[in-house]
Amino acid sequence: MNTVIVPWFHGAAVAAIVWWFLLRLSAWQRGPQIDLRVTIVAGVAAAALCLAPVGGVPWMRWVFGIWTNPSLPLLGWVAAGIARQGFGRALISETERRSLALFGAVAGTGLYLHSFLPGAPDLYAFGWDGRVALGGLGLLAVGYFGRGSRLGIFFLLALIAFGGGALESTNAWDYAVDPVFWFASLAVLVKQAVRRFGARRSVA
Amino acid sequence: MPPLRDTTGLAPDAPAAPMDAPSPAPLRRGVRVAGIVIALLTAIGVASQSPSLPRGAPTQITASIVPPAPVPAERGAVFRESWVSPAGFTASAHSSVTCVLPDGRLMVVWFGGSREGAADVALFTATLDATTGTWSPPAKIMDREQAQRDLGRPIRKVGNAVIFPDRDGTLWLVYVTVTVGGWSGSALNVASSRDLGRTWTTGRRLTVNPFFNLSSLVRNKPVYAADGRIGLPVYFEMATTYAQMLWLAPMADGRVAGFEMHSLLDPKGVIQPAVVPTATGAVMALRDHGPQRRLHTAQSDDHAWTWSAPVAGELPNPDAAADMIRLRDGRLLLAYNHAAAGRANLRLATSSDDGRTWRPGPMVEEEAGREFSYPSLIEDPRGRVHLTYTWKRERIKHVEFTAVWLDEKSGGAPAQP
Repeated sequence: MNTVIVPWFHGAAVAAIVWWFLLRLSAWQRGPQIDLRVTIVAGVAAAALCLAPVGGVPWMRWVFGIWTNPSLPLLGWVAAGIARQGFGRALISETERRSLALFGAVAGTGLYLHSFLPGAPDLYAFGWDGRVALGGLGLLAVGYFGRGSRLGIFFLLALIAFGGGALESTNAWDYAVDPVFWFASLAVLVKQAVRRFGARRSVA
Repeated sequence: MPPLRDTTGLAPDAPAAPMDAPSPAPLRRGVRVAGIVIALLTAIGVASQSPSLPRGAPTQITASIVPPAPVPAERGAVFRESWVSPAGFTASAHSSVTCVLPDGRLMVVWFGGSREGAADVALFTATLDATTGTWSPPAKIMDREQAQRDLGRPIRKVGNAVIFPDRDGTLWLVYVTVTVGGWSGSALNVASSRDLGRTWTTGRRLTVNPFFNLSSLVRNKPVYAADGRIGLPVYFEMATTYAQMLWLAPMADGRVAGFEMHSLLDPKGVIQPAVVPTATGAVMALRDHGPQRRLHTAQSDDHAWTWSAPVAGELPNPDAAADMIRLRDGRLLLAYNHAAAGRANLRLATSSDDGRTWRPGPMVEEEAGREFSYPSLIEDPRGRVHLTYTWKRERIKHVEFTAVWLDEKSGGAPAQP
């Protein structure tokens, strides 16, 4: 953990997420084509919102108190969303987006729910073992690069962030998955499943 | 039926996406290879820069870093009572933990305020002057505002804390804070002191659990590994409950070099572990948070690294904290509430077989309808036993006694094997 980097990194991450939400909100209200000026205004508004005091404390400090460790794949997802929504640039393909959601859903389910299973090993503890943790993140990066997927960049960034202590956590798994990423991934997969189910029913 | 609108940008046909965002082409072969090489080099680079910390099971653990004084065991039956917290100091006082400082003095930490969980609750310490038998005035070492400043986030309340020295003479404070919700929303934080508790370093949050770093709490004192690590028994209590061991690697300058948490996932329903080294490993006593209402114990054959499944023992437990130590004569001494419900008594018990069987001893407190709880035991370098505990939720009380007194009140010394 790098005490200088952590608050800046977290603040930037939260501001980026808020920015993306504002862009989505704008797209929902005014249509998918977003003017560059709107994108910039949304970015400034996101930063201002993060600094807005709530109970005498900047709002992003509350977020920091509850959700301290945003994972790098989630931030990659957000960056891709901002680029796509706000600047009309697709950083990753649709297949890669689906693959990212699948990773978030599977990794989050395993990490957060395994302790409820009788006799389960303590999976989270492996994240403190440098060999296992770095090997895991490295394998994910190599695996995605090997398949020609840009998601390899996200896990390469996770490795770099882990090495630099960019998150408060010193557990490598927190650089690969976090609860917000997990929830969002599950929501996307459920939504896709519902859509497919609806399409099948309409065809039938 | 109109199509569902994707608001995430992840769906393949998300209608909200700009129409002029062409999907990027797959990575070219050269880029793939470069990515693989960079990822491997990065992993190797990060691994080579990681601090070399002790890993795996310790080769040996001890209960204290302060060696026993070279004096024979006291032969008289001594029993003395005193108050750690002055009368009326705070409306509520709870959850004391005791340690022996490197200079041989006793230090106690507890939390006090208008009531448990209130915003005005703070952590206090006091030290015992062995020559006069009096306690120093309480010193506030942490409160909600200080925790907020240290940790850089809103803090709603502070709670349980433990205090202990390391081999370099640094004093460590591990304490619970809550930002949102009740105690299940707790997180652990650590600070250290190089001047035996007069000043403290800025507190640091420990991320020890995967799901929003909820909800680990601390209650009892640590054990010390021969390699310098400190094994602190902690516990998890959100949706399910189980014991955990937090292994801290302290640095000489008062910072944490690294840490890792190991969860005892089975069975659930036990919290607030108390750990004592044995000849071959360690024994753990656990509060029963489940329906059995029996004190649980678990055994370790590798110095508190891995544990057997906790099993219910013969002693009752009203879902209340217990603590234990090893006496100089080798027996385990346990302080606990001898009831399946309520905390109206506080009792001692001894075990000559590392906690498999217990011999109930004297009642330290007993008064119907009142609370005597959260005992903390420690043996000072002279071999005298000190017990602090919550007295009617109003004050922290201290009693000290010798093994001779304990045996007299237990109906005589146990038969030698």
